Amino acid sequence: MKTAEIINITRYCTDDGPGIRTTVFLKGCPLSCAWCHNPESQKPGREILYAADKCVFCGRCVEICPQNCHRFVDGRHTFFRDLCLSCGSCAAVCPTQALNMSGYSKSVEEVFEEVARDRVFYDASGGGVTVSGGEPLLQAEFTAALLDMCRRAGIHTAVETSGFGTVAALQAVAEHSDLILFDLKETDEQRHLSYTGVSLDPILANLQLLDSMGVKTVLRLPVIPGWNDRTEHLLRAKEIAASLAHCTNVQVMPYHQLGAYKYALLGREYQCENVNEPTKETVAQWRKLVE
Amino acid sequence: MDISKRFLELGEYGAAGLFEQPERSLFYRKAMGLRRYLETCRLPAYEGKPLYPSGLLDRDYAIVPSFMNGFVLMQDNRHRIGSELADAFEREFRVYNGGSVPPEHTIAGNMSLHSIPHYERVLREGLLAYIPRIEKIEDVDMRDGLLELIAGIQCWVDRCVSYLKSVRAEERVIQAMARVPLYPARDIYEAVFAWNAVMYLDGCDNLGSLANGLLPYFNGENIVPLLENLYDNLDINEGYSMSLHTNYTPLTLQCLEAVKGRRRPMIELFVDETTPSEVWEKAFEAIRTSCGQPAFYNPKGMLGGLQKKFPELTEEDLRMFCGSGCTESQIAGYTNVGSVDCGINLLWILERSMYSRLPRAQTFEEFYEGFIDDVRGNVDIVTREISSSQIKRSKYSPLPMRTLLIDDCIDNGTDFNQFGTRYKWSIVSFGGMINVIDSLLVIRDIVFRDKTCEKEAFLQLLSESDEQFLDRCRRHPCAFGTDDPEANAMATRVSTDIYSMLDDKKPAMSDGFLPASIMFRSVANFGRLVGATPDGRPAKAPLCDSLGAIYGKDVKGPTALLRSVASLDLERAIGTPVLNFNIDPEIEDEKLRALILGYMALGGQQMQLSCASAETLQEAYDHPELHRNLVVRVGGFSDYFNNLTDEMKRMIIARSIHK
Repeated sequence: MKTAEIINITRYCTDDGPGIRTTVFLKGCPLSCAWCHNPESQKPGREILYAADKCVFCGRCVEICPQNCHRFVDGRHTFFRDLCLSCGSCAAVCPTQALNMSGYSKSVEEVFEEVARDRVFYDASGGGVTVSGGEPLLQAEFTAALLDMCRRAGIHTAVETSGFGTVAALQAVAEHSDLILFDLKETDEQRHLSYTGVSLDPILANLQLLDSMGVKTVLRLPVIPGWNDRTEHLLRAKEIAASLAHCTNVQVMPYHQLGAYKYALLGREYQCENVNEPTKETVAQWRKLVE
Repeated sequence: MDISKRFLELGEYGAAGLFEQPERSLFYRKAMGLRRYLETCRLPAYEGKPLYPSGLLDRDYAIVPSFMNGFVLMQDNRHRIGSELADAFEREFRVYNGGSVPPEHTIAGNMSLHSIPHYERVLREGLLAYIPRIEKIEDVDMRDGLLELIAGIQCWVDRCVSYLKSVRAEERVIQAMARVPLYPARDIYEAVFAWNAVMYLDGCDNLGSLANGLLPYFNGENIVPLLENLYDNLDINEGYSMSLHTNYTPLTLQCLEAVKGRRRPMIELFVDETTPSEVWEKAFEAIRTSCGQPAFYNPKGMLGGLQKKFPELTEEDLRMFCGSGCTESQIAGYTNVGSVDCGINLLWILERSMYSRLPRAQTFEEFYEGFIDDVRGNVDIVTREISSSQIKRSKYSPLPMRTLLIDDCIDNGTDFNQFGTRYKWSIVSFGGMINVIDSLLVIRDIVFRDKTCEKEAFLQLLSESDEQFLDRCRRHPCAFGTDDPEANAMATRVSTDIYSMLDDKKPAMSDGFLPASIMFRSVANFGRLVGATPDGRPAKAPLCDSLGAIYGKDVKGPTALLRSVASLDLERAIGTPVLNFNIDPEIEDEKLRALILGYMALGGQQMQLSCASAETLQEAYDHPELHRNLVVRVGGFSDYFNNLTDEMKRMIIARSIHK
């Protein structure tokens, strides 16, 4: 039985491919984009999210934690995250859900069962399933098996990927995908390395490989003011898209701050804290550049 | 001095008519009362509108005509006639509204009686053509009464024409008034004019299957201004519904165009996978004006369900389907439906079952069966009382106007309230269904499965409405609204067990009971009768509205909510299974269409949409003056947000808004 580490399965997603979709967010990503709005998806293992503002100081976590991670320091609940083994016992007893476990394991069959529940809405809207993340290529065997099962059931399949993964993983996943949403973060090698922690070259090679396989792609460009909103980057992305036979669209994904609060939950610093969301006019200009 | 003369001297002409010939039957006397009312009532001022009458019905009397009861005493005006005359009226013309139906089971209705005239027939034949059929009626008082009524209508028409001439009204208005509804309509203008006039004669209840009825007169004209006038007349008189069926024509689009920004009529638009894009577009344009219109109906589900229950229903007559009152199933022009005859308060029953049965129940199954027995006991009482009220009403509360306007009363020679109509049924609503489902899940899991709370403590905490305990109940992971398979299974079981209690029951004077779940404004009032419940509802808090999830619990988005609702036995609830659904104005048309069609593919019967963002609702709450025209759907009807009580406003704000 193939299983995956999952952050969330979200129904009625309307931004991850055509129609009404269910998106399966897998945990673990080889990239560490500075602006990532799902930071809990980066680490492959489970981790505890702690919302200090929801804590009512009941002390149940303090009592139950085998690692003594939760303590009252100067009358305040303090979470010593470094000691945490992510056993989840604190989240299980927290009465206000101030503590939550991020990540759980599910089999292909279990995920399929959940995905298939919205079948009528996919049929009515031309929607389907999208596997996202994290990075689906990190859990390629699971992803391929899930997509295969969905496809056999007549459900449209899509994958959202950074394109960073082994060729074998990419081929296995692409084989069962009706659409790949390919997130291209940056077109300059040095900047890509600096912003995401990985090289651009294998990503572009994988993009070419997908195209040679005849897989339909949509190139998605997360655009973050002050980071990758340069005109030359957007124009270069447009060129890349134009060079692909099966790329149907280039989508600008403007920066938003909806994920900012999650860094606090993870006890992490957010590098883009001072980045403002772009105005509608700015977004329109970006979109015009890639049209 | 006789009673009639005393009423006459007080200017209570309708009431005077009731007592003119006290030796005759109640039917005749009510017909004479209506005649005198029509001969004397104040006519609305002509204000240049294309339809006449336009504006408020004249109800400035102590005793006024009423479509439900014939005549009613307006308590606010009782002082005008004094107790002796008021008593004299009430002795003979009392309202038979439920009698001994227990008051806790009158959610959304207590022998309420909405109906719909056979507009099409009046348009086709003209009311004067009814006279030969009336003259064949054997019952002398009924025959004479209906002839008096026709004479009253003739007089009313003559008065309207004279008035219109005196104020130099537009010639086409005068001509149309002289023509319809007494003679057949000849073109679309006269058809809408007649529809409006019949609506006024009936007391402004519902518009019926409007587009289908107007179709024979329609030659592509733009009648939107006429429809807007008609809708406004219905609205100002607090009227209700109309339907648009799947045989779409340009008239369908015009009917939708005219409702933009209007609170009423509540439009039921039948849709399926073949519905053309222009109908969807027009419907969504209307929805985005925040008017709450139209609601979307499933033709296979609603009409198919009715036909299954009543095989004698013809395809042709099903085209006349229209909700009445709010959304209660009727066949326009052909039905007497108790809508709503009563609303059983399931949560009130559950509370009693808990305190009496839970302490000694060994298993959840034992408790559940006991609860179902308790519901059955209440259903037995309520249905018996409905029958008893039907009999009383048929004897003592004739309705001449509806006998005239609704088939087949004349041809059967039988009064409307003696069920002379072609179709007849009684709608019994079940309120608190979702509260009960969530409560049963909590009882099953906490008390019996996990045993994390002793029965005694459980009941004690509930009786104290302990907020911490209720919060725990509210956060119980297995709850209705998230498409949880176990919660869905409970929803199927409970709804089937309860709705099916009516399967084999038959009212004394009609053909069957139709289960429904509709709440109107009563969610708040009937919640006050019930203490804290295991779904996490505090004592006296409102019941959950109709068949939506308890606010805040539908955390997995609209598809999960709709699947949960579809797990209820909606096929049985053909009286009207109301789902109020909030959408954000930003929602894409294609997604909304898919949600509606997907829900229907799952067996959903109807969906009523409110379209306002969370910000708009909050702003309307804080600054009502800025959102006077914001309309929301609640409990099966549409109303201005500003018209609702504070409690109901907060309830609507708390609903999930789907983007």
